Amino acid sequence: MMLPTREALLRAASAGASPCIWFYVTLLLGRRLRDGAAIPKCVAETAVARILLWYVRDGRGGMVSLKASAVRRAVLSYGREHRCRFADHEYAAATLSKHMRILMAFVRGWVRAAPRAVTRHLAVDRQWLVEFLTAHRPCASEAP
Amino acid sequence: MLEEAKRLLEAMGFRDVVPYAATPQRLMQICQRIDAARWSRARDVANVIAEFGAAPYVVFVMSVGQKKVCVPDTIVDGQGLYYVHEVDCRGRTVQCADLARAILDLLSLPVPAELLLAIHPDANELCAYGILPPKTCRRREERKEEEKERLETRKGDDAVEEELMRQLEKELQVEEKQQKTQPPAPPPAPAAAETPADEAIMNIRTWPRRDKELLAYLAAKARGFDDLLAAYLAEEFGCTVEQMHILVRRILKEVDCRNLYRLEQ
Repeated sequence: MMLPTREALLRAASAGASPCIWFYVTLLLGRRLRDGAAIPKCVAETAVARILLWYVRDGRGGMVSLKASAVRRAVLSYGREHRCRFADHEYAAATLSKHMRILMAFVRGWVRAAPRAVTRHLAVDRQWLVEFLTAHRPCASEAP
Repeated sequence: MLEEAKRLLEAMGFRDVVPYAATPQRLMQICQRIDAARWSRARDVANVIAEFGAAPYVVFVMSVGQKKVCVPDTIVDGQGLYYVHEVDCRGRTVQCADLARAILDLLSLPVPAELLLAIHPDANELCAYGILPPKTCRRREERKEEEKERLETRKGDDAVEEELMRQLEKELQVEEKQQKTQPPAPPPAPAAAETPADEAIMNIRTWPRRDKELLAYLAAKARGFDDLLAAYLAEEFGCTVEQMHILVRRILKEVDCRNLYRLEQ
């Protein structure tokens, strides 16, 4: 079986990669790649950023909650909407639950950077989030 | 009791066992599992033996390789005399386990699975022969089933993971192909200095970077200086730009520097 490499993932993260890549990345966190490396942290953060951007982009104004349940829902809806493999599989929901702690670490970092955030409820201004995530390039310094 | 023990041994095919008498201290040297601390605790066994009138006591010592397993493995009378039946279990550990179970039944003692497993370690075999208590076998069976299910789930998950990896690889390959066919994109301009004005702002040396970035960001959106001021105040106080516009208009209209000396005081 061919496996992706760290370099290929970093390249994909710095160019706008095709949607399902981000869904697969969230499910494959912790797996070893072909070159023995793990999925880079910045690629994982890019994945969550791209998915959440898709999820909040079309909403209207106000605040948006980034609680774990909302993030989990966002990832699963993203997978389903983009017709990614296993999006409806029980495996996806179970694996995502296991990976939520990692994903939420990124989200909490963003909420800390947000102006007017209700940190306790992980709620941020939607407009700010869209602008932030659009500009957010976690792999910018690691791109091959 | 000695008679019953002899009958049991003969019935189970152990004919060459000659018992000998031992003190509790000697017994403790023979049996690794017996310790003095248990004497006072195992009152139920004492009661059972007392009821049987079984003094002197009977102990079976099963020799399994280098180790010796005593049945029963509790001594209740530190002053008593024990008749030790040494049984050579080489090549017949299943029979020995069966004998141990029969002894424990005879003494109306509970059958500890770990004691039988110390004589014959294959639990499946002991279960198959009906030597291990059925409850223990059921539990083991259930545990095995659970383990099997877990393994199957894990196997299923592994297959899904491999398929996911394949998909990821496929997507990345498509991505790379597309990248190669597209002309290279012009290098992106630095985010915080997109225009000469931005560049000028970013070149101010005395300002902290965050302030410069905020100014560049707000200036790019502002329609004029009042708008910039309102946007900045909105950012700073967490109000809306519209609210701050009203405030800025009021400041511009109402502030009279001649009255501000009070502030300085």
